Amino acid sequence: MNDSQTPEFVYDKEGKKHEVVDFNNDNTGSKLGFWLFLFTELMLFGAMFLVFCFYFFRHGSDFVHASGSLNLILGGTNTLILLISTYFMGISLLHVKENKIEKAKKTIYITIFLSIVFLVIKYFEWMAEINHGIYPDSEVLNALSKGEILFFGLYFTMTGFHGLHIIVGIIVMIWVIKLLNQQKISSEKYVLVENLALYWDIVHLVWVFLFPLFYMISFGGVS
Amino acid sequence: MSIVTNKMTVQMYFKIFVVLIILTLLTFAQPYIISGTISQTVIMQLFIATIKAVLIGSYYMHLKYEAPLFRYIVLMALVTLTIFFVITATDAIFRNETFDLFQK
Repeated sequence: MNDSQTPEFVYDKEGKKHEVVDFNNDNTGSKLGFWLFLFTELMLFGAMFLVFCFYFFRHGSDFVHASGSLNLILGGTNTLILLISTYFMGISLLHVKENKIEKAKKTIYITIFLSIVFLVIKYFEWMAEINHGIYPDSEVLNALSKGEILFFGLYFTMTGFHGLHIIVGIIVMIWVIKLLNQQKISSEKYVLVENLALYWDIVHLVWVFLFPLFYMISFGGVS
Repeated sequence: MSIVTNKMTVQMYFKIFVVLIILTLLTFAQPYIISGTISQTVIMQLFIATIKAVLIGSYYMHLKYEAPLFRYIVLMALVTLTIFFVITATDAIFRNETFDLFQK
C-alpha cells in the first residue's frame, strides 16, 4: 500500500502496539466474502428447490411419472463424474499449499476435463428429451398433465442453472491455471484456489440434492 | 491458520471420497434394497443426500477446521433457508383447509 497513508495500529492481548502494514493477504476476509457469495447461491438454488418441493407435494404422482422418463444411467454417471472432479479440485488446493505447482495444475486440468465430460453428457441428456419433443412450451409438453409440465420446466431450469455454474467454474479454472503459470498464486497466496474449491463444492452440493429429487423419485411407486 | 490447515491431507480427502462414493452407490441401490412409497423413497434419498452434504461441508469445504465464525454464519444461512421451507410447507399442506376458530 501507499507509505504516505496514516499508519493504523492493532493491539494484542498484552496491550502491545503493532502497526498494520498490509491488508492484501487477508485470507480470512477473502474467504468470508466468498462464503457470503455462496449464501446467495444457496438462496438461488434453495428457492428453486422450494418451488420443486411445493409442486412435488401437490402433483406427486405426475412428478414420479415424469421422473421415470429421465435417463438414470446418464444422470448417475454425471453424479459420479462430479464427485470425482470435486476430489481432484480439493487435491489441487493441497498441492498449491505444498507449493507443488505442476501437480496442482495437472489436477485442475483433470477437473476441467471431467467438467467438460459432465457437460457433454448433459447435452446428450437434454437432446434426448428435446428429440422426444419435450422442451419448455413445446406442443408435446403442453399436452401433458400440469404436474409433468411443471416437472420438466423445473428440470430444464435447475439443471440449466447448474450447467451454467459448471461453465463459469471451467472459466475460473482456466483463469487460475493462467495465474499459476504467471506465478501469481503460490503456497503463500492461494486463497483464490481455496475459494474456487469452495465454489466447486457448492456446485457439487446442488447436484447432491438435485439428483435424488429429479431422477430417483421415479422408484417411489404411486402412493 | 497454518496449524489447522495441516490436518487437511490427501489421505483425509481420499477417505471422505471413498465414503462419498459408497453413499452415492447407496443412492442408486436404495430402491432395490428397500422399495417404498413416494414419501418413503424421498425421505431415504434425502437422508443419504444430507449425510453427503454434511461430509462435503465439514471436510471438503473445511468447515470442521475453520474458525467458529464460519460455522455460525453457515448455520445461520441454513436456518434462514429452513424458515422459508417451513413457512412454504405450512402453505402447501394447509392451503385448502379452513380454520375458523370461532365456529363450533
